[in-house]
Amino acid sequence: MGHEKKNMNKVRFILLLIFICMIFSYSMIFGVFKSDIVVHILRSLLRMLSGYVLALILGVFTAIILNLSKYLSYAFKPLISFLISIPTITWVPLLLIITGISEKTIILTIFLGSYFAILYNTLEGFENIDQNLLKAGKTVGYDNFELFIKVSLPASFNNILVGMKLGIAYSWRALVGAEMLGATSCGLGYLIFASRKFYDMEKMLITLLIIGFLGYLFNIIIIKFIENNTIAKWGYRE
Amino acid sequence: MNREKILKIILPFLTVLLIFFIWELLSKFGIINSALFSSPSLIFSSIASSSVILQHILNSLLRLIISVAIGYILGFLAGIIISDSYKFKFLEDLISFFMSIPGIAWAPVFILFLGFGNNTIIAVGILTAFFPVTYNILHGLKGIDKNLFNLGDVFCYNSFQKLYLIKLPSITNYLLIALKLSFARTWRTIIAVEMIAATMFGLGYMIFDARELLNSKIMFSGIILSGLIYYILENFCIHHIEEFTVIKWGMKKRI
Repeated sequence: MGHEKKNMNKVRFILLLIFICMIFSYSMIFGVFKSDIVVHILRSLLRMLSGYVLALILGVFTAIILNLSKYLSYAFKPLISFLISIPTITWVPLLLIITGISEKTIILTIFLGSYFAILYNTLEGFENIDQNLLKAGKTVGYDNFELFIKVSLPASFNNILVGMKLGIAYSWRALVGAEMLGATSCGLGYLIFASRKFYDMEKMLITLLIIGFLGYLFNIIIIKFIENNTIAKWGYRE
Repeated sequence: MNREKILKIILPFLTVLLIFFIWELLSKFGIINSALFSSPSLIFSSIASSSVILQHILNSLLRLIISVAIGYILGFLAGIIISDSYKFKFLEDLISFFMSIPGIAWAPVFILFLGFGNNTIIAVGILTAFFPVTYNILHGLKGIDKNLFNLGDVFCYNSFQKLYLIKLPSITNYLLIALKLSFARTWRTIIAVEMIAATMFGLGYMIFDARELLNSKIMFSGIILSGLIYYILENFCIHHIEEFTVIKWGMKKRI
């Protein structure tokens, strides 16, 4: 049964891929896009990557610092959960006047979109670690660093992954918004916004599909891939 | 134990106060540029003294409620209809695909059709609210125990009774998740679309308009208010609904 379901998912995925390829080839043949679409996509992905990786590293790092003391995490946790609920796009106009219309604004927006979600969930994960595991680690004779790498991180990885998932969704949304308002020449959001001025319906709809497809891809491929290779392997989840 | 509880409440307030205090000092002594970064006293006085802000908030909230209400009802109907028939199975993938398109990406398309103003904002809001609801209801309906339907057959329920007595109570949890998700996404999207497409009022419009005047205190108050409104919506309104339904019925544990 499970095997069949897996195959079914594969078939579905391949069908979707074919669908997207058809759209691409259609748009290439009829000249809706020239090869510049690749530049737009790569530019957006690059911005996404730099903002997101920065948020991931800093988020986990901040969570480690806040986890040092119980009172520190008491003090900051409600504030962080409030900061998550601020719509990311509202930072864009402010960043525009502080850093100017540039790459910095867009990357900072992506960073702000995913940072708080990752931080909050990682902190939650660190707090809910089974104390017995830590005690067992100490019994084996791990020092603090080893304890963190070998016990805390794997034990809270489930929550970190939740944060990563949320963060990737938030920051992809933020990226499109930020590119609409703050990009000067490249990016998918810019493309969709600029083609509005020329009443270029085909271009807009196809860009829309590409944006959706990339968002879908992040979730399915990257997150699922990480999930299958970590949590599922360690037996936390089916 | 008791001391711990008190600390848990007091410490966050102290941190926020401390942050505001440092921010105030920094801008007072000119270490950070007060034209760009403003200061807490300016922000709060502008929130308190301005009557226009209330108008902006009310407009945004009205748009939110209208679009979530319409999107929720449409999404609910679509979910029930799609799950009823095998012919519509292929739509499931399409829905989970469309769910991953950011709401704001639709805005330029809708501007072409509907023009600037409320029409576009509400249309995009409905679209963003629609997909998560349908997706969640489909997921919920898939997970219902088949024996319940057999029981319904034994009782000779017609399809309406099956919907009302079996399907709806068993997916209440998913209905609430759908409500939460659609509120969260639609709020974000509406603020974003207001930046591009609003003509008069709305929190997003207020923030974006303040940028042109370099009015950073209004921008900061917009950011804080938009976060606060959503925070209140989720943690008080929706939590209360949960308390009265799923938590009371034992479908979800109290956190």
